Amino acid sequence: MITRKTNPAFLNGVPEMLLLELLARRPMYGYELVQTIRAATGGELEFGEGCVYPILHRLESQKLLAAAKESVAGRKRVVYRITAKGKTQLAHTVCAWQRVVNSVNHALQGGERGRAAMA
Amino acid sequence: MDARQWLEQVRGELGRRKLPPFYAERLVEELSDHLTDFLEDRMSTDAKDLHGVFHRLGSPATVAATAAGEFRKQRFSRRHPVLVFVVMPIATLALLWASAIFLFASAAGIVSWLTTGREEHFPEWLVAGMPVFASAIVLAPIALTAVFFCRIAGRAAVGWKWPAGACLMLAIIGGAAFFDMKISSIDRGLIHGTQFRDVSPPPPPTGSMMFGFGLNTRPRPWQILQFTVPLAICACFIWRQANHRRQHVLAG
Repeated sequence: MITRKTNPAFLNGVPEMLLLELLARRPMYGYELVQTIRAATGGELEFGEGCVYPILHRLESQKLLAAAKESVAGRKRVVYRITAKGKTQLAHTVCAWQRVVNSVNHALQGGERGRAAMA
Repeated sequence: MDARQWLEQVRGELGRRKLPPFYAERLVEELSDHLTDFLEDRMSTDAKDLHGVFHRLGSPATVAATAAGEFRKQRFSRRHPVLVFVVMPIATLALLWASAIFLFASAAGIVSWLTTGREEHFPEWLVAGMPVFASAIVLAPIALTAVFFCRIAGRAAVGWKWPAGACLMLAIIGGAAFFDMKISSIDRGLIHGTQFRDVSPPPPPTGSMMFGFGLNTRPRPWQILQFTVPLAICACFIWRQANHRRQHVLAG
């Protein structure tokens, strides 16, 4: 559901992580969240905007988020906030992501022996 | 296509994927808010802008497919249907039967103690009603279990086959179950044909309690009821689901 044309397998779990991270900064409603993702990723990652809501609903059912109807800019909107459990989950997910990114980068750079190790 | 039409298509796609109406309505409402926010941002209701937002939202089929996938991940019963609709009904029924027998025995003891002063001497009306109580002890847990698992199936939107299978299993097990209680009352204490009305202390009442499974070539009326009640509950559930879905698709 991310990217322009395809959804590479290595991006599984990334939407949830981004949503939790942005909601950890401040509560937001759906449209605001989508715009913030676009801005935060420099336009590199684009969500099928309609597909954000099912993910938000699932995260809410898992008690990682809480949703409530609030008045925002004169209109009633469903605003999402991260829960304590969501913050814990986010910390674990980010940690795992960093480990994966570091080890892949390490491998791509040839490991400890430099490029010769890749030959 | 305008916003209302796009939203109705999403609603229809969600209904076709058998997602529960409460879930579909919430999603459609939030998508409607999203559309309004987008158009307010651009301060426009141009067809070109609308087309742009529909492209960004994704097609109704894509949105509904994602919703169905995410909904499936939410529910334990959708991830483990065999555990929930095959194993748990049997375990639940056994637990409810055991609880019902225990509760009845405790209640009968308390009632007897209150009315006769001794908990093992049951009043006449209790003894006379034993066959009815015994049948209710078997039937009520069957009905409650069928209703419970049909409700779980409804909320998880697992379709009709899993709850139908669970109810058929309950019907077969329930239809074969019987529970017999025979207890004598204080006024009818009979041992070897001699009445001990005025002898003190009165002899302890005799009785037996038997719970088992068996089929007769001429099943008892209560056993027929025990077989048909879960099937009737399942039929009601399937009919209601079909009705809801029909209304949902018509509204779309």
